[in-house]
Amino acid sequence: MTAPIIELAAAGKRFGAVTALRPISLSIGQDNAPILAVAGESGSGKTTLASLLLGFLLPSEGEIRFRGENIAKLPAAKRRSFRREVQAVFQDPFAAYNPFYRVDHVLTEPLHLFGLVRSRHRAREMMEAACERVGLHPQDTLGRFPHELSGGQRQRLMVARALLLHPKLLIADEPVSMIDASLRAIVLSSLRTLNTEFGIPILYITHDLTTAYHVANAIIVLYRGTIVEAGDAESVILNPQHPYTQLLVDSIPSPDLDTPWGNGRPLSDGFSAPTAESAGGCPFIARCPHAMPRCATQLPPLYAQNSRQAVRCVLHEDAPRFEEDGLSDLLHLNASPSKEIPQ
Amino acid sequence: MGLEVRDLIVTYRTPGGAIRAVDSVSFDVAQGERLGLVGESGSGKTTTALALMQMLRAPGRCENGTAVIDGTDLLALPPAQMRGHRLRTISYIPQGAMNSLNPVHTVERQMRSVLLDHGVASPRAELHRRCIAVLAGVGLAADVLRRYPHELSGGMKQRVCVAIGMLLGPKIIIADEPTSALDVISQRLVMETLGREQQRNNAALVLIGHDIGLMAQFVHRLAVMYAGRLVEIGTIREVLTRPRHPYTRALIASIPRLRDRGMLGGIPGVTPSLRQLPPGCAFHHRCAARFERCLHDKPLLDADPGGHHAACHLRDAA
Amino acid sequence: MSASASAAAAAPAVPASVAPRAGARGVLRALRRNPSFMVGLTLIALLIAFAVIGRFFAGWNDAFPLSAPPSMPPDGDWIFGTDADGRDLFAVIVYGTLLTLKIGVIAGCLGLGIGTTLAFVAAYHGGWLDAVMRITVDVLLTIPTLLVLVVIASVIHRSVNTTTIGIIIALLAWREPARQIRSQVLVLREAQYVKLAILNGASSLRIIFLEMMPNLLPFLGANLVVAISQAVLASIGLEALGLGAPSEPTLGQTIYWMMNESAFMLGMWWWIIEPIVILIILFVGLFLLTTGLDEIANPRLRRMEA
Repeated sequence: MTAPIIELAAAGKRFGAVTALRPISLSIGQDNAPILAVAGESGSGKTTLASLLLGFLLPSEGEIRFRGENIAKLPAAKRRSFRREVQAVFQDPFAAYNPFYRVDHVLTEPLHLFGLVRSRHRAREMMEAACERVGLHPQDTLGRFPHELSGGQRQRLMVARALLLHPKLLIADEPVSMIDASLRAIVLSSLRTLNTEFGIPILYITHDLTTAYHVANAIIVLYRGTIVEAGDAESVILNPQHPYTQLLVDSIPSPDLDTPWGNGRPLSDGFSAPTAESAGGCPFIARCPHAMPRCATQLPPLYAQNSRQAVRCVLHEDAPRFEEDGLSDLLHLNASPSKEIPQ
Repeated sequence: MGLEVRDLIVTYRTPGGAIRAVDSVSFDVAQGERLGLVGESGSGKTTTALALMQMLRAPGRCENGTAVIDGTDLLALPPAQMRGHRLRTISYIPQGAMNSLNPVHTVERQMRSVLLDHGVASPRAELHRRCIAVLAGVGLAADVLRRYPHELSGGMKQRVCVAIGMLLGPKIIIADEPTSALDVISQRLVMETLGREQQRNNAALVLIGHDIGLMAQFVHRLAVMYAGRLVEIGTIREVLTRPRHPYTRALIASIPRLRDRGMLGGIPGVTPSLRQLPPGCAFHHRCAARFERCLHDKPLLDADPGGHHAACHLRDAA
Repeated sequence: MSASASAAAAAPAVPASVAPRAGARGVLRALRRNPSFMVGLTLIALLIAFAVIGRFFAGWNDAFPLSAPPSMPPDGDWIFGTDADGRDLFAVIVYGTLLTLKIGVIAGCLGLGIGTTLAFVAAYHGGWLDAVMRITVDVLLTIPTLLVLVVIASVIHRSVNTTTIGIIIALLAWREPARQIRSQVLVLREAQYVKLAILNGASSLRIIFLEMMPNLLPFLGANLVVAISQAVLASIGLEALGLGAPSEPTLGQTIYWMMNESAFMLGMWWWIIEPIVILIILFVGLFLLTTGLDEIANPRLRRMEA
């Protein structure tokens, strides 16, 4: 088995006294092509995770490895490969475009810098093909300035860029959260095309569990830098085990008039005040309807609730312990000949 | 009673010609009622709200329309009088409101200046008491008054904005995507507090957004906008279960739900630019059910403000 | 601050289909429509045109002493009159304007160039380099400019000419642009499109020149005009104190001679008014140019396009 594309080796990040991300061990291989969702609210550490993987932040502990080597210490040639093979789609469909240039700039730059084309003509061909692949008309899109396109079109163009580069891993940081709900489907379909037709693994960062349900194979739920639940996406979302995940799923406003918000479960009072960092205990304690005194001092380990889900909560302490470095296998992030990717 | 809006038209003068950002929009919102206004970015929802508040900026202009509440037409008021009505009669909680809180003033100071601006000449202690009461209404503790905006989370800031919007007990509240930057839990909190406050004051509420799921959980009636026009209006149940406009139907069908995994629909085609609206129905290029008449004849919404209506030629065939 | 006022600030001003154009052509268009910029540009252009055309009507030597009868008021032969040393004031004004502008441009460009380079390098690199630069500039900014210039100029008084004055001024002119541009770069560095460029594998130089610099052009332009204005002011200050190049008839030198040779007492009003009027036009023009560029560079000040 070849070295994984990206690996977090007990990598974590602290900003002063605040733990943005507790150390995680995860590796994403290139033989499977999963879509892994990383879900959480703001402050959960999901953006920190993306920044670490893209090399925009250095970990406070542990390492991030690209094909087995620490990305902070890559020699120039390998660094180029890293940039070529690990790409991203960002959240803000406007800010990703340099307002001085036409939108073609985001496509022509990487084509040129990575030496992917010989001639202008060929570059144009490739760009047009990529546009069509994501449902954009090249004549209506290329040659325009960023403000002339809608958010949905700009974001699809970013996916087209990823298609052009054919990376080995795509990190999509809340790619649809700033787009109208009615336009999200088409951007997400194009991401899924990248995955199913081109075999590109995607790390899908989101706070919207509904889209994660439709798009992802596996999911990690983060709360204040800690993994509270992880496993098969469908299982975790339809049958959440951790109180936070349950709260998240309950709070999704359903367009079904007969399914009221919250499933009848009220929100606890702990939302009134900003929560302070708990002293070594479970970060969710202030908002948890099941909080017990020992939750304040004891951060539970992960428990394997069933073959598809791991949960970090004392409510499940009867279940067998789950080793943190087994996450990659639980989430089917690497080649596993006997398992198939759930479609 | 409540707000009655008739034939609202807003145009923007551009070097390339005038475009109609809001084209003859009419609707009613009764006291105590919640109306959802849903549509994509650029469909005219925010422009409608700004027009009602007389807050349009050049080159936008309100060309036509009336907005009557308690016998007063808000659109006909001179600017000085309108200032008195803002926040007192009609209040607007803008998108990204939490970013418009003054970062160098405490919450209490900002709330107090709103009260003072509107001539509430009470002693300081009385104002303080009032601020605490309103904050409690949105589920925030009294010590939030002493805080600065950066010390609060996004959800809390948004609730402060809701509190400010409700401070003078307005009869109409327009909330423009009040939860767009928030996660679902904060969203639920903010909406629940907004709803509670609205009910307590028996105010009329217009909720602007693009998330139909949120509308389903919150509003009594729903209006759908497309390319500046109101294309459907009715109770939330009617519109969701028996949509009469093809756009509404497509919109509802494309909402992702927690079932039918992997089914991601969308509406084929692109919304026309307001500069280049097709003749006839603005939606006809993308409509599977279009026929000859749709290409030339612009469908109009029924004048009757109650009931369930769609601006579509199919209704005559139905 | 009432919520309705804050609401007006938060609400989008115009729909996207009506927003002003971006890109190089958009900037030029915006400049052309900006009244301050156009008036300022006109004034400066007129001044330069006057000086350039005037050269055909007055010789270089006429700007030096003993080229005309002294202390003559304006009349037929000498339309600007002459000064106490016998210089034809028309020639003096024509060549003086050019010389003063030359000093301003040399000092301004040099100062901006040094400041921009240091700012980009330090701010983009970040870390200790940026900290060192920030502290250095902050300390240097506290030093009173004129004082230093006076000291330097008096030390090298023998070999002072317009070029050296320009260089001396540039030695201090780089500080403010460095500070301003550094803060802009620090902001731009966090822009998403810069992060995207990093993902493209772009080198730091490419990012600085291709991604960041174009967005800073109006800002750099404004800083250049400010630098030139300040350099002109500094040079006039130096020269009026008598520390300028004694032989070259710059506007500042003219003022020095005018003051030192009792133009007021002798009632030679033409000698007083002429250089001052030119300087007023110069400064008003530069000021309006700066204001116009500032409005383009700072979108919040930008007036709405009709």
